[in-house]
Amino acid sequence: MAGDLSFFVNAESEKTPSELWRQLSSGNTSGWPILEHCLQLEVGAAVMFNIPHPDGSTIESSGRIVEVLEEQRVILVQETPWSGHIRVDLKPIENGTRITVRVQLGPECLPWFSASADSELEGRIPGGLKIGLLAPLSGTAGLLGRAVANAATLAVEELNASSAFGPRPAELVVADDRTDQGAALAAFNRLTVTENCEVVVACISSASLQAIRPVATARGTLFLAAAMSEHTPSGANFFQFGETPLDQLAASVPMMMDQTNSRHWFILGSDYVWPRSIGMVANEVIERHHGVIAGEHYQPLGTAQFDEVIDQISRSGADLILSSLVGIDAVLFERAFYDSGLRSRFRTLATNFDDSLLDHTGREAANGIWSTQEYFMPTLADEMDSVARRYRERFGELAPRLSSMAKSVYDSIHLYAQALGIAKSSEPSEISAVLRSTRLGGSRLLSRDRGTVLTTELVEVTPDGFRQIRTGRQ
Amino acid sequence: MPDSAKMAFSAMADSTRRSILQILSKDVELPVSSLAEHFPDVTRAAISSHLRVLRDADMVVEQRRGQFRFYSLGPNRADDVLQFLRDVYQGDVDNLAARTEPGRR
Repeated sequence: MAGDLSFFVNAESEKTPSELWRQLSSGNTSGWPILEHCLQLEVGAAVMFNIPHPDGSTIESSGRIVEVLEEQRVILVQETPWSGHIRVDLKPIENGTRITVRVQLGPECLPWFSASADSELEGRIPGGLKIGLLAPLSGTAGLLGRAVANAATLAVEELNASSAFGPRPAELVVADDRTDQGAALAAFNRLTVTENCEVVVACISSASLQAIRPVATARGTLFLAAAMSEHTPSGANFFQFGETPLDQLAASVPMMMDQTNSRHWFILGSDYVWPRSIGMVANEVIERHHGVIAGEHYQPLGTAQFDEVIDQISRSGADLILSSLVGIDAVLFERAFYDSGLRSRFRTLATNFDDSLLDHTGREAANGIWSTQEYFMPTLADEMDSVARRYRERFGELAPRLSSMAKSVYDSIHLYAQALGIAKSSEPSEISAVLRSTRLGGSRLLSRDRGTVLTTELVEVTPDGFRQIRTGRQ
Repeated sequence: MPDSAKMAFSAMADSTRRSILQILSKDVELPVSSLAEHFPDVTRAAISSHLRVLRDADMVVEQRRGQFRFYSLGPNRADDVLQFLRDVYQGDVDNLAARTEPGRR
């Protein structure tokens, strides 16, 4: 990594390398926070951990194991909120083991601490067109962010290679919304005021969207909201490209009822505007198909305690769960639900459960979850679309997989470049005019912005990953 | 966190300042005019102002020679910033070695 920073720490233990390895392998009793939630000490295993912030809060972080040498070494790649490598070596010494940890921090780590818009220093070309990406790299939804940032990087690199932004390459500026409305608004201000980005592509919660939208409208910013959200009227330079609740539920709810021969639902979500919109639409769709709402519950974001709601679900008489929990909350709930022994009694339809969340939940605990979103990256290489193949070539097999939000960001940046080419101007109103015209053909993103209901793909968790039940279609 | 670390965080918050540090990491010493050439869209006064912030955080040092000021990387290369994270990881590895205390989470 260009411009990275690194340091070592070490300690000596009276235990043998074998004893320490068993300790590291034992999941939540390892005593080492980075591996606390790791299901298995193996290559590809997802990890999530907290790092204290100097201000006393915690920084929700995630990564993946990329190398394991039994009883000797484990190497992790940190994915969020900043990139990095963490290498742990165990070496036998006379009275035990020397543990050495080498931490390598990506160049965006220090700027992240200072709440700065961050981007790779290498390749920065002052004066070029700037594309802002607002995405969660920490907080409850932080697990979703690295795939999104990767997809944006790929799109900008590809478009720069074909000079789609003109003779000077465009620069991607990534800002972490930290799954927080205030931080999202501050990050938006940095992208638009400090960094002077011509366009902001956002994968943020609808609560943050609501906070930013009036500011973006007043400022005339070209704003492309790429994540799923409740449908709201388009604004002059404000576009909504993500899945709506109706896209996700209109066909999936009756299909799930038919295929499972069940009709009693428990609606569960995080407590903010989008999950409540999911709940409202779900009530209508379930009722229309003669289903029954057996219970409904919304958890505050960031709640790790699920005993009460699991008890509620158990006693509700439901056999289906509709879950719009997000990020870490979804992972912790699904693990707790599995641990409660109830998993096999229920099928869950999840509206925000992607490959990253599946990796962190574990396939066994997630067995029985159906998920519906616009896009799922095919598991087999020969079934991959060209974007998925290029993504895998660029970031490797161990990178977080291309998610629906990430694909939407990739497509949004390509769409912006197309509109820029036609408008021959980066003026937001002129780009918007092109996007609102019929000159860009049948883009699903633009159809969604115009309010067309487009059915999303439906998959279920199997021991091999997601299996497609239904493709997305109009 | 020590004040010097806070100043370093603040100094690193701006993309132009980060670029200046990157340029200085390749060239040992440069005058303002040479640094400014890397930023055609930024005024000379703004570059001087960024250099002041970096100098106050000890991230660059300034040397006067005749009418010119030359800049090079300073003694505070984010070492204080890194110390905070180093302490966090040191605490973790001590826990792992001793296993007498519960995990941090």
